[in-house]
Amino acid sequence: MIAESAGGEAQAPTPTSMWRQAIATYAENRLALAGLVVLVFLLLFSFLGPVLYHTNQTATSLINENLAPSGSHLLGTTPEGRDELGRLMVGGQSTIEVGLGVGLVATAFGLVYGSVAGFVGGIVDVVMMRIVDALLSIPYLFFVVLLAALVQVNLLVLILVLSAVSWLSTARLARGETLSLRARDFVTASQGFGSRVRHVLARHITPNLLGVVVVNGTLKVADAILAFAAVAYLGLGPAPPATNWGELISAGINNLFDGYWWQLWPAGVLIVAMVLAVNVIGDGLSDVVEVRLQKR
Amino acid sequence: MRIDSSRPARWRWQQLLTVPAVTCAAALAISAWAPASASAKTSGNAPTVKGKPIKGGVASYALPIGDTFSWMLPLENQANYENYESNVESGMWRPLYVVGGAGTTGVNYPMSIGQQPVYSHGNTVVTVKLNKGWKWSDGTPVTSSDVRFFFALEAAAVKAGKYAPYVSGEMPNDIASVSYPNAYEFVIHLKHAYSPNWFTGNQLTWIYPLPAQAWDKTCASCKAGNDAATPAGAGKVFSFLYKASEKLSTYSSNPLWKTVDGPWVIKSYDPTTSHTVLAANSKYTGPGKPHLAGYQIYSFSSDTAELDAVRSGVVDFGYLPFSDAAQVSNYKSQGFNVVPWTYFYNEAVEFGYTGPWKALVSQLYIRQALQHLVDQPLYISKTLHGYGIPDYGIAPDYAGSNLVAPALRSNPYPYSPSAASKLLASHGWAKGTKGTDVCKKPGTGASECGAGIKKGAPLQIQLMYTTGVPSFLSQVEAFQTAAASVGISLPLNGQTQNTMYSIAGVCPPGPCKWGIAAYNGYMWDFGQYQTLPGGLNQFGKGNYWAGGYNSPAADALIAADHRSSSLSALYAAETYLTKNVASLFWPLPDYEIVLAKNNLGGWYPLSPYANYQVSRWYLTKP
Repeated sequence: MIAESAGGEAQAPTPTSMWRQAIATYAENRLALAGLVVLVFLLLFSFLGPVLYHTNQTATSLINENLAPSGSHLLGTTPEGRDELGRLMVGGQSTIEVGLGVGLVATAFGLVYGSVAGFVGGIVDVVMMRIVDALLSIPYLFFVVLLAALVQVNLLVLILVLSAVSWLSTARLARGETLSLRARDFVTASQGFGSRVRHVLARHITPNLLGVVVVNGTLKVADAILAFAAVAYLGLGPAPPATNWGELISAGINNLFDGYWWQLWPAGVLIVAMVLAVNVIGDGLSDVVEVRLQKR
Repeated sequence: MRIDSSRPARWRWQQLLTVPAVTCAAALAISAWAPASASAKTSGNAPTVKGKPIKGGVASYALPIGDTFSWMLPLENQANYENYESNVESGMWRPLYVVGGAGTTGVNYPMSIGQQPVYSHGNTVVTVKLNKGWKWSDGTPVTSSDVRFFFALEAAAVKAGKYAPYVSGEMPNDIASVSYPNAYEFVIHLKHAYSPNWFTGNQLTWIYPLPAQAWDKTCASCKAGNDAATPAGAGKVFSFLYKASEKLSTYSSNPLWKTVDGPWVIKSYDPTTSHTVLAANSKYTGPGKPHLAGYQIYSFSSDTAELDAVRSGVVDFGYLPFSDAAQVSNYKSQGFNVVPWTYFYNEAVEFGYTGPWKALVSQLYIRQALQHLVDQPLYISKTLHGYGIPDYGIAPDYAGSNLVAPALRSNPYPYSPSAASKLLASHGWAKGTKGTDVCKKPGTGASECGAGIKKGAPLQIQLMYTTGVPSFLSQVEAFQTAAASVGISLPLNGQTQNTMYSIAGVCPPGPCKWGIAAYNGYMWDFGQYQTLPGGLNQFGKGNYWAGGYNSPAADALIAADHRSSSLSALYAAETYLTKNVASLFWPLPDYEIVLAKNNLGGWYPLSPYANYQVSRWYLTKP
């Protein structure tokens, strides 16, 4: 940006750091800002909440099943007699962990895989991308059901399984961008100076892919949360007393006609809020990455 | 057989009282302990059916969640040994002895092809006469040749390892020979003397006369002949029929399945949804001709879908999920009949006696401690909302039944964490650092942990359970909580029912990820093949559904029961299995809370064997 003095004399542009510029751009997107606030709230709710609001989420208490909200149970109780609000907090932890875990693993792997395929090209590219095509044809539920029968499902297993089916689109995206980048002058120049493939990928290709891929990663987080909810809804998630928002929705739906609204709506609202927040954050990041929207 | 729907054992035998003089001694013995009432109790309040009954029409019912009719041949393999499959099959191919009726248990002779069997020669010879007049839909009379054909196929099925009711020592192993004096009589010569009650209720009930004139062949284009006359030929015939039964897409087109002697015949079948339509057999010659022109069977994968189908009128006879029990009055006000279907099965949670946790579950005191942690009244009142009955053994605490040992009318192991804790402490267990008990006194002494348990070993057992049923999950979690309170850690491992069928039972082989396996619903069904809770199939040597439980004392008591006409022998076996905690006995939920339209009648009183008995159903019009 060019600043002018009172006398109309042009001054040198004020140096702005990349991060400050990014923050400023992000902040201009009010929705994305709101999403960030919601995300922070949900993180505090899930991870700090149990510290402040003590409940026993391990033991059941059938004599307290399905109690309506009251002073002793702010959001009532579950069919097993656990405190619903405390359950939502604990459920939020695993839901967020899976979402972020899958977003991170899938994005990282897809980024490396796609950039290698796109940069190396040739038969390597063909083989690698056909593998992607083949894996895309397999429904993720198949993996989950299969693994649930073979191993004890826990959060780590779920993160790996959902990541295993989530990195594919990221790989395609990274490959497409890499094909474009590798024809750029700076890449050609680097190669001309004798840089090795690994160096070019690490120094020139990957950093330039990050923006796009990070945005895509936020969508992966949202998708993973929904996928986790679906898996949990089918009863294939981690075994009780572990829980998550999807499982709570499943339990709530079972009592849909009994008027136990506190077992269904709060978990549903939290999932929607979380997914929306992550999505609008992704939009905000997209703005940051989009050069044309940046003030230079 | 299987678990949730698996094997059977239930009884009723009062009608054996009129046997000939040669068996009068046995009959007198039977009468001494037969129930005073010939009919067992019926379930719930009588429904209100509005309108006038009409002839014809098509009604429908919904199978329990996840259940599908998918087997035609009335010789069932393990995967299809289900009460609801037998129920449909026996509507097409009449068993020699129909069991159960409107609110009644035991053999239903008036509805059966076979007359009451006559036992002679010290109960080593059984003579069965067939009622004349029964005909196949092609006009051929039902004769003893069809029974002979059944025995040939049964032997072939056993040899092929594809006959689920079979257990070593039982039919056909207990039969020395069978003779066929005439077209309407056959005589079984037994290897040993057996109790007429047991042999009739738990062996003869397996027999289905089968249409030899249509089925005795080895290929679709072959002409029916006498192939099954030899064991090798019978094997080929069985193989042919078995493969035909596996071809779901041909159920309604395969002429094999059109030759029936029961009141129903297959009309259409959707192999994708398992939607089954049966039509009334216009050539049916037996008693109890259907009022309906046909009926449909629907399968659902979720409670919500099932309930929607009932509410929208697609299904006439469905059910209300237990979790929606609070809605009973609401549905009644909408004109539905809502009736709990209490039944005579048993529910038991099996121990893995051969799996990774065998050292722990093989200790009687640990099993007793665990049984003390099952709060049956609480589970019934809170998770089932009252729709269930206690079950303290191989026969549930079913009202009106005299088949439950008096000692088991009350819980021998009432809920008592303190009693459980005391048992553990007295055998060398003490709290570890993580809250789970650890073995402090290894060894096999009376006050020590027991064989195979090392010092410092944690008291932790993996509990596999059926997912997808909220009420059952609540029970399992309550049990886990109670166990944790006394230092027993029970990590949960949820699996779908179908997965459990494939990986529970006896382990190894299979991924042995369980030390305790809890199936939702029931463990053993009665009334399909067995009417008496003899226990051999469930707990005898070589069993599958008790996790490999092996007790010579139990085997001896079960064998004695099979040969005794006294109820005391049954009671002794029942009591031993319960006190030995062969499995963890668990409350039995009602089969379902029936939710039926008020223009559907005839279905009440409900069958204690959880059979739908559609032949009695009728529709009404205003």
